[in-house]
Amino acid sequence: MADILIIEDDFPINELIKRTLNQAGHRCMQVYCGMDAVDAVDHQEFDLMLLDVNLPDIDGFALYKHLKGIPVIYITARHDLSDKLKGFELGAEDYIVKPFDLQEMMARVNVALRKNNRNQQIIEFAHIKIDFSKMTVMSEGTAVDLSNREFELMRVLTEHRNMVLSREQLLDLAWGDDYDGELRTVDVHIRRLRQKLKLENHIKTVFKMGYRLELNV
Amino acid sequence: MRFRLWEKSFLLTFAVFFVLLNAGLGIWSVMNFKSEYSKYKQQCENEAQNIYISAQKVCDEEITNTEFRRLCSMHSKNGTYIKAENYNGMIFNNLSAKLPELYLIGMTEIYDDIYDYGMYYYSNYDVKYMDSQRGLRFIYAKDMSEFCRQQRGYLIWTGAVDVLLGVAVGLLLYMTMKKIYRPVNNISHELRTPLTSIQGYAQYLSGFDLTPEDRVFAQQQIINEAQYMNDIIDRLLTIEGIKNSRVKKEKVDFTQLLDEIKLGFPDVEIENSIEYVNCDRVLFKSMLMNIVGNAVREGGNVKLTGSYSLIKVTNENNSLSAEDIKMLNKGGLLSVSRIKGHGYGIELCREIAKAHRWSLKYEEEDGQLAAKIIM
Repeated sequence: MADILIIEDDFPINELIKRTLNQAGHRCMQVYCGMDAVDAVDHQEFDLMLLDVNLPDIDGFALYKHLKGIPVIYITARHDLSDKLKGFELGAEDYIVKPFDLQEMMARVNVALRKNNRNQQIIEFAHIKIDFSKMTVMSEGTAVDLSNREFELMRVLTEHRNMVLSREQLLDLAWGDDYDGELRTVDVHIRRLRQKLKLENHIKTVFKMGYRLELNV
Repeated sequence: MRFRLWEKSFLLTFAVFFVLLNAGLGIWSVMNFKSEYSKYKQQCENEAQNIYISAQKVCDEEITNTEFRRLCSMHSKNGTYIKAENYNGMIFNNLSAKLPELYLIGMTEIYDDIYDYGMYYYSNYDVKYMDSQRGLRFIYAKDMSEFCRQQRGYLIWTGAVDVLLGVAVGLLLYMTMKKIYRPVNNISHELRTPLTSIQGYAQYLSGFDLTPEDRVFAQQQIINEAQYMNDIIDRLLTIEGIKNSRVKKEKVDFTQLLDEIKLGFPDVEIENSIEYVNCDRVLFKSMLMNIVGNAVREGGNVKLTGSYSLIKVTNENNSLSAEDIKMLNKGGLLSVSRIKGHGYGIELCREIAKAHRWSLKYEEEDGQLAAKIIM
C-alpha cells in the first residue's frame, strides 16, 4: 500500500485515478493545482506522484522542480516526443499519454513503486501472508511451496487487486512478452493457486473477461 | 535542439522554397546577363564596323584624316579605343596610352575575362581588322567598365530581393503554420481530456466489482463527459462557421429576444431601453445566452442592462482576478478550475462579436464582473 499524490485539474480524471488506485489498496490524496501540490508535499510524505502537465497555475514540468525527491509519473494529453523527452530528462519515472488504459496505468504505477522500493513488501489478507522480498507465502500459518511462475502470478494479482485482468494481460505481466504459450496455461496456474492457497473465494473468474483477486485490504 | 513536428515541416518547406527561390533568381540573373551582353556586343560590333568603314574611306581619300580623327575622338568619349594605320602611317591611335592596363582579348574569352577580373574596370572588348588591299590595320577596343558596373548593380539588387523575399515568405510561412498548428493542438488536448474520462470510467465499470453508488457515479461521468465532448465539437464547428462565412444582419426586436432569454434564465434582472438591434438573430441570441448563462453559473445576482449601443451583463459574484479578466480580454482560455464551465462559450461570444464588428469586454465594476457588448 503506497501513498500517492494525484495532481490533476480535471475533476473526473482525478477522481477516476483515485478510485482505481484505491481499489488496488493505495492511499491517495487529490489536488487540483500546483500550489496545493506544494502545500501537500510540505505536510505529508508520498511514495509517488501522478502529475498532469497542463495545470491552471503552473506548468507540470516547472512544478516538478519544486517537488524533487518524490518519484513522478506524468499523465498528460501532450503527446509530442519533445514533451516526453523533457519529462524523462527531468527525472520522471514514466510518461502516460491521455487517453490511457487503467490497467496500463496500474502496471506503470506498480513498476515505479517497485523500482523505488516503495511497494508493499508484506501483504496479509484472509489466511494468507505473502512476503515479496523473501518470496515466501504462508497459508493459515503454514509455508506453501509455490513455483516461480505461480509466485509471479500471485504478485501480479495482488498488485492489480480488485481489477479484472484478462488471460492475455496475465500472460504479459506474469510470463513476459516473450512467452509464446497458450492462454490455457493461465487457467492451469490459477487453478493451482486456488488449490494451494485455498483462495477459491478470492480469485474470481469474471465471465468472458478473465480473473480478479478480490481483497478488502 | 529538438523541434516540434510543425517546426520541422516549416524548416523543410522553407528550405525547399529558399533553394527554389535562389535557383530561380540565379537562372534569371544568368539569362539576363547573357541577353544584356549579347546586345552590348552587337552595339560594339556595329560601332566597330562604322568606324572601320570610315577608316577605309580615309584610305580611299573620301574623307580626310581630320574628319576621321574627329569621329574617333567622339567615340573615345564613350570608352572606345581605336588604332588605325595604313602604308602612309598612323591615322588615329588612342589605344597606346591604355595598352598596359587593357587586355586585348578575343571575343570568345570575354566571359572568362569578366569573371576572372571580377568586375574590373579594365575589361574590354576588341575587334581587329586587316585590309591588305588598302594596307589598313585596324584595332577596336571597348572599355566595358560601365557595362560591368551596371551588371554588378543588377546582381546586388537581385541578392537584396532574394534575402528580403526569403525573410518575408519565411515569416509568413512561420506565422501561418503556427496559427494552423495551435488550434489543432488545443482541440486535440481538449478532446483527449473527456475521452480519457469516458474510456477510463467504462473500464472502471467493467473491470471492478463496484457498489451500486459507484456504478451510478461512473455512468454519470460518462454521460457528462460525452455531453462535454459534444459541446466542444458543436462550438468549434460554430466558430469555424462564423469565421468562414458572413453574418446575415437583420433588424431584430431586442425586447422580444430578451423575453426568450428570460424564459431560460427567469432569475435574471433585465433593464433595457434598446428596441432593435441590427444583427444575426441566431448568433446574437447564442451570444447573449452564453454570457448570461456563464454569469448565472458563477452564482450571485445577475443583471442585464441595455442602453444606446451598450449591453451589459453584471454578476455580483466575481470569482475572477484582475489577471483572469485581462486574460479573457486578450482572448485566452481560462482554466476549468477558475470558471464553472470550460471556456468555449466565451470564445464563441468573442467570435460572434468580431463577426458583427462589435467589441466584447470583461471589466470589474464595483466588485462585480461585467461583460460589455459595445455595438
